[in-house]
Amino acid sequence: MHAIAAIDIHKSYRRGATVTPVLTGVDFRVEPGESVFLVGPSGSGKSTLLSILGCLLTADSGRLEIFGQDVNRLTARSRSELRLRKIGFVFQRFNLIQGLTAIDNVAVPLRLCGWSAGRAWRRAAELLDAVGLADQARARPGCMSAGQCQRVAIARSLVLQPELILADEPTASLDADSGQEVMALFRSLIRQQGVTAVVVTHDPRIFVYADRVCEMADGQVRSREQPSESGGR
Amino acid sequence: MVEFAIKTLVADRGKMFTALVGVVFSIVLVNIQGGLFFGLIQKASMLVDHGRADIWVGHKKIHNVDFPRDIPRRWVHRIRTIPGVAHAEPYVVGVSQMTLPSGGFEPVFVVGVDESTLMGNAWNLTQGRPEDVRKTDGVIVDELEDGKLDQPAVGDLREINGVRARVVAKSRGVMGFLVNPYVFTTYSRAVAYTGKSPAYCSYFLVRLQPGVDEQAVCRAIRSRVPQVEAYTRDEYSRISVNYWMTRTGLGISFGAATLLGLAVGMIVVAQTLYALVLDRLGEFATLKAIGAKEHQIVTIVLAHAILMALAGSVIGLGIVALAQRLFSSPRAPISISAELAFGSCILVAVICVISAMLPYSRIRKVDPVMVMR
Repeated sequence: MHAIAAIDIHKSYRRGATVTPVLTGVDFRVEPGESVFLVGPSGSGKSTLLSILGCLLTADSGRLEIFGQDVNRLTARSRSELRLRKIGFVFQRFNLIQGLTAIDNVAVPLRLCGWSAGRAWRRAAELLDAVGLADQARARPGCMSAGQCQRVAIARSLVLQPELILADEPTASLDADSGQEVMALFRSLIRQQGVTAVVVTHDPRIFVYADRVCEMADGQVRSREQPSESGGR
Repeated sequence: MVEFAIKTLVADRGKMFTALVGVVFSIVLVNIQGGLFFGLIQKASMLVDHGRADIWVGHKKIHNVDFPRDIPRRWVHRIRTIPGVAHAEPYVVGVSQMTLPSGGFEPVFVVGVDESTLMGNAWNLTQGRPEDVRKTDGVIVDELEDGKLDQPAVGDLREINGVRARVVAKSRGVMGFLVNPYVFTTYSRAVAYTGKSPAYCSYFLVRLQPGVDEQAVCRAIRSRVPQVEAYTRDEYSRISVNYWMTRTGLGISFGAATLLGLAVGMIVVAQTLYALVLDRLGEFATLKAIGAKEHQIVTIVLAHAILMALAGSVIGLGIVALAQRLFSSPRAPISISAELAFGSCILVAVICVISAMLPYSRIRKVDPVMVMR
């Protein structure tokens, strides 16, 4: 069973009478535990594909299975449930809740799952410790650096031990050093948990953290290269 | 989700404060306006509420305690024979004029009570005793009406309808709905002060034996004396209040002012909640993206509204209690019942929840995919 099996995915955007095809028969498979990076020029459909994989968008046609589950057959509520239980998201701009502390932000998915406050806090504290931010548990996003915020976002994405992590340009808002640190941490944590990851990025410096790099062009996905062995560092 | 709502609300203190101002404004306005209204309108039934009579009997068409129509006094004997009646006494309420030492005059409501039972006499006396009204020429006036009556002291003489009257006691806060002061005296002197015939009176005040059904006695009175109407104390109190409510538009004017204030406060709350949500659309999109369900989003928005309603109600009621302590007086009583206070909080909470639906409709339209853009 594939972690992700996207078969002949088509997606177009309509603006008035104009129809712009973005994905034109994408075939994309990811094995369990694999870390695949999606690269390509702006407008090539990377984020659209990631949104479809994350059940945030629906494809116009094609078949999508996440860990064997046919996503097309799911109701909106079931898709929410799938996102909450099986998929972790890391966003380009972190998307933390500004009014909440780091530990509260990490605990959000747990609380959405109905965990009690105390239990959620204990689990969130473990994750914050894992990303090296135990001392920032009470800090709000406005008081943390971009690198720290992204680490909180990574902790949030992993807190429910999802099977799949989808990351959209996770280093785009970070300087080079922070980007490397965050990706090293990200790689290490998903390896520890055996999580499958799909990362959209423009940043060639982080390709080394991928098991496989795929390039998007003309609405299609093509395997590009096998990163060097140092990717597993 | 409630805890989440509390934390995000408290984090944005500026907006929370603005919304709280709206809620507090509404609570204070509803309670003070309502309290003034009830304080004022309760004066319309003061004589009934404090009269110690279980049943008020008057002319067939009575509609206000201050404006009775005379009935033959001899009918009291028929009422006294009705089973269950312990006492039935004639009672006079009439208009007259008091001549003042300065040469001026003041229209007054003269109230005449039975000399033996003193049922319906003045209450809350600050000088003298209720039974002093039996003294020669004795009348009881209210100290808050001193200005109108040329500052009468106990023992001072006045003239009512050309008949001598001596102030023997003074009450505090016995002031009717109208501007005319009440003057309490005995039945026989009240007849002289008002120029009425001693053969007539305004009401019969009836006390019942313990455990007797009031309504049954009222029916018996109407049956025995078909020319009169008999009401329980509560009924006649309500009728007297309704007289002013329905004939003056008082309820409408107070109610309109209250609703206007409520509307202004709630517009502030709705606008603030909307602004709060607009600022956080991205955060709601994030919650939806990571798997929050619709009912969880609704819970957050409703919790924001209810939290503000709760906090605003507590602060608002605190201000109301302080204002009541500082500004309520017998002349302008602010009468805030538990029902009014509780009702205003419920009303404000309901309107806050309705106000929250506007921003919620905006959140509903948020597509979680926006977090990827």
